[in-house]
Amino acid sequence: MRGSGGEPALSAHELVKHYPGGRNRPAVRALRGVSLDVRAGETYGIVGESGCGKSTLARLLVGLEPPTSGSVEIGGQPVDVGPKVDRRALARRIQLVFQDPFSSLDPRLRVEQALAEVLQVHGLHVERRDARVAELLDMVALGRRFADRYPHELSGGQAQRVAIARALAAEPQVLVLDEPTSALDVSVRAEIMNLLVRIQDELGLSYLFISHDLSMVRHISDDIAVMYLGLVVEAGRFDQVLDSPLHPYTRALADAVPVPDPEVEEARRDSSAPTAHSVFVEPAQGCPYSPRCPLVEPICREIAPVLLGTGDGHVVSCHVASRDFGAKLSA
Amino acid sequence: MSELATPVVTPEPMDAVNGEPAARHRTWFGTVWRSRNGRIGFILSALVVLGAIFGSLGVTPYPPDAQNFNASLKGISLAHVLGTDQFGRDVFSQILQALGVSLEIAGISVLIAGGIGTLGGIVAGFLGRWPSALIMRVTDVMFAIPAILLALAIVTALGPSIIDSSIAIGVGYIPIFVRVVRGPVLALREADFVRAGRVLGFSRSRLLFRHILPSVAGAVAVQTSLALAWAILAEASLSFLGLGPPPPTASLGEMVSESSSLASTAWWTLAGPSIAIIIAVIGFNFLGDGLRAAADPRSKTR
Repeated sequence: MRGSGGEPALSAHELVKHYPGGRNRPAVRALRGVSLDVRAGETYGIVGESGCGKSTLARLLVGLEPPTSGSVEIGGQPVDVGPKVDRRALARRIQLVFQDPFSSLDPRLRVEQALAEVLQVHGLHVERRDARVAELLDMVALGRRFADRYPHELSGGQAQRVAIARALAAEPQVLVLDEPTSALDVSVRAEIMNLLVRIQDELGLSYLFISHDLSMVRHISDDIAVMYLGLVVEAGRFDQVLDSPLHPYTRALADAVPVPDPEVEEARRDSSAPTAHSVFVEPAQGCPYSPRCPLVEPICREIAPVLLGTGDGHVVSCHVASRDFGAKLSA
Repeated sequence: MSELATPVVTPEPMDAVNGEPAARHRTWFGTVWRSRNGRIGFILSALVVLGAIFGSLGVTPYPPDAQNFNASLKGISLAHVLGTDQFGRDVFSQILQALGVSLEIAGISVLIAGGIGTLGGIVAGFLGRWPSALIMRVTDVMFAIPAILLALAIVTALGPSIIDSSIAIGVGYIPIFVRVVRGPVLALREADFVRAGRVLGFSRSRLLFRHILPSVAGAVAVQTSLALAWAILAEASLSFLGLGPPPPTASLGEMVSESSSLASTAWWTLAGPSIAIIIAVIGFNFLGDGLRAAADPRSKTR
């Protein structure tokens, strides 16, 4: 599965989203030019803390909000995600699974009604709608007896399975998963993750997996992008980014993942740099991460870095990391 | 020393309600009936509506207008369960007929208020921007005027008749329906499940009629029931002031108004219609309370 080439299933080019300010609030630049390629049948993980623009990215890609600028391609064909988006057509190509399964399901519809409605809207499986609903439930490993349940009669994990089944009902090529396990009990997360992997294998779907939790992203992703304040600061294959992180922010994220060994954890906590300043402001110029960065140098406060490649697809946007890496290469 | 807690991996709750599947999903009526207020409200409202129907159809113990001077101002007896008035008319029969008039006016006015108000609330909530601003400002202005004062002004302008009274009372209650509907519609428009519907390619009308409106229907039902109670009161007030429909169509308010001078000599002529008003108001209020519970889908289970 990992490493298959070919046409990207989903491409975003320089997506920008600005929210205009009001009388008493400044304009927000939620996305400041994000590009990514999700390879067919693979999973592209996006990590970042809340407020970094990862959910905005998800909303733009599924046509919930028009981008300020930038373009999107699905399966090599450009798609209009602008204000005049054709939602019906877009729905068959890309779907979204929300973070909170309970709020994303209509509380008044039984499970089978929620699934059948998607089939009805898109005129799918007209002759064998009930059979298809049963298939969809099987696909997410829910028994038939869940068909006549209301959402409030389901557990979090069950409800998220229904939400996944409903997204699959539209038979999309790409599934955007916006923190699909964050609202769930820890004990249920692994089940959902395994389910997602199995569905991907069976259907050949491409995933864009969004999370603030590096360990979840690691579990499922082939490629990973790290976002900070509306920008991708580092991207590459999952092992490149996670095992040899270049950007100081990626390192801080990796250090924040708890290790299931109290002694290691204790030793690590003492040695790690205090990166989590409460400074979460965007500097007027220079690198957006510079106010929090432990490696900050004068140039970082002057000039914003750009994404530079290391030659094997691993890209990073950091003056210090690029220089060190360049020195290592020439040495 | 307390025992060390062993980490227990809780499995997802399996079919917690095995068996008795029939009891799992209650109907609206079942949920209303389950609450005490709902039960009382339903019984009282049903009595009021039945009485009104009988009264309108003329199915009364005595013809309501039949005068019998041999039996004037008779107290409560087996022959006349609520006594007779100064013309010897049977008070109970008159109440049934007046109930029909009162309920007709209340019903039409709530239909007007609910219809226009709900529509306005949907438009204001779903379309947003300037239609919303316009509707809400008009609503605010109407809210500033007490409903009964508005009704007085309108009925003075239109003149008294059943339909005019209904319009006068109904207009005053439009703003409440606008607000009751607009709030939830506004919130639901941005709800995740409506967003999910948009991502799934559902049309705007499907989202509005299949997903947003059913969630608002409960609130409208509650409001309708409460508005019926208010409308009966408002109609009684108008009639009491002599602005109700002209004779011979008597409403409960008119009966109270006419009999108030007899209160010291024949208390039953005042008590009958007054208690009828009280029963109707309490009945619809409690019914609204019961409906409030039924409007929540979570209450349909258990």
